[in-house]
Amino acid sequence: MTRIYLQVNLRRREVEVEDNQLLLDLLRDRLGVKSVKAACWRGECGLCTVLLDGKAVKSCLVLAVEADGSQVVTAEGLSVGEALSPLQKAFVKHGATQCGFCTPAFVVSVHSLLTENPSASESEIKERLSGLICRCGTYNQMLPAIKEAATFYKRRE
Amino acid sequence: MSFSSPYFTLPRFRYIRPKSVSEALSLLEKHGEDARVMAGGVGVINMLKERLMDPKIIIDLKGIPELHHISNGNGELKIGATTTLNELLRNDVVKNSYPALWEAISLLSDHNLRNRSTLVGDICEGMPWVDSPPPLIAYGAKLEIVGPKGRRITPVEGFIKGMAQVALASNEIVTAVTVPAPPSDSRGRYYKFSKGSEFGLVNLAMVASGYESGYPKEVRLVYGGISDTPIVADGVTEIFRNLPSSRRDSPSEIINSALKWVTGSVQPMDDNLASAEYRKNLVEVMTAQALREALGRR
Repeated sequence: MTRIYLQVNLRRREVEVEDNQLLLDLLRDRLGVKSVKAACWRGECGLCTVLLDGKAVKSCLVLAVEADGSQVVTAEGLSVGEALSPLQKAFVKHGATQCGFCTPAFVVSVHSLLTENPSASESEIKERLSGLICRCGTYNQMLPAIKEAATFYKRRE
Repeated sequence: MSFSSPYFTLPRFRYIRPKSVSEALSLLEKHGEDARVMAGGVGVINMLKERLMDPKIIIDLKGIPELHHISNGNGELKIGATTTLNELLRNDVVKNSYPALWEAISLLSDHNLRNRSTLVGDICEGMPWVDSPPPLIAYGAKLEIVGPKGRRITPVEGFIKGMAQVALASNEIVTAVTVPAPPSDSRGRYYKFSKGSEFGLVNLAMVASGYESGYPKEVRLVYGGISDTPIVADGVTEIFRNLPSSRRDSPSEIINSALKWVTGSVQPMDDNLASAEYRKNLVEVMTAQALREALGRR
């Protein structure tokens, strides 16, 4: 067991973890962050994506101990209390979510893209989303949602 | 080798994050075959899940500052062992001077995975379909390896020995990749035939330079994904080196003689991704396209 300290959605957490525990399991099972989804467990579907020190990574391929001293942000961390972020609102408005299972991972990945580059082109958006799988196929609803949300990220700059 | 659903848990191991290369080396020396080195973890964690390795100790190199760098100077580009693929994609020198490498990385898996995976890790995985070895071999890249006896330099060409096998002893660490600066007229491309971010059925790196009246003197073609190890088309290199300078064959004649060599000498493998026959056809089509671009035609 190793004691680690990390910040999850701006809240400081101190936990004892096994060296072989995945960040995905730590977040879901120990810290109750349920927007992080476990699906393929092998880095292919991207639904366990979180922001680790600002970078979108697949938490099924990160050990919990590796996150010691890091900041983790998930979909819960994008909203303020019950209020959805402009990006989350745009997803709802454009019907960019059907069953909703993949939505948190898409929202987090798009947030990292628009934070880096609010003027991302359609092909850059598509390229960025290529590692995430939506089995309902709502990609075509996501594109207008992302473009609309981009204006809020531009304004923030 | 199986790629069925992985276990949901990892086998038990102890995680150690050394602060220096010498500390990592002494850990390797102490634990021998029981220890495995990890950088981005993308390959290692998946292999642990698949129970393709069962180490007692995992040595994470990410805590070693001296392994995290991209530097350009003294006629070479040097990339540290923990430098991620996305860090390389954002580097202007990689993009402008080593386009075949840049394209290979940009087609490698997806953005979020590239935030973790490293160039050195990609090479050390030693799988047939990994993207970075063909362009690195085409650019003449070398690996810097440290072990108990000190430092050694070895070409990337020949480093991959077979499926998941590389010429690295259990007490050694690859610390960096160095890539010599290509000539100023160098052209490079990377071709990958795959479905989206999947493994390539055929990968091909082309690097050409030494242009005289539109004809390159030095052409390197390196194939990936078609055999246990990358395949260097040295016969094609010979054809371009031996072009008579007085009377040039037409581009299509040169391409035809190169294709003749390739179809006779490059034997693609048969596996569950594609048949040998299918790959053979892809090799021909992709080789012709690469050589047309080397000759400045489309």
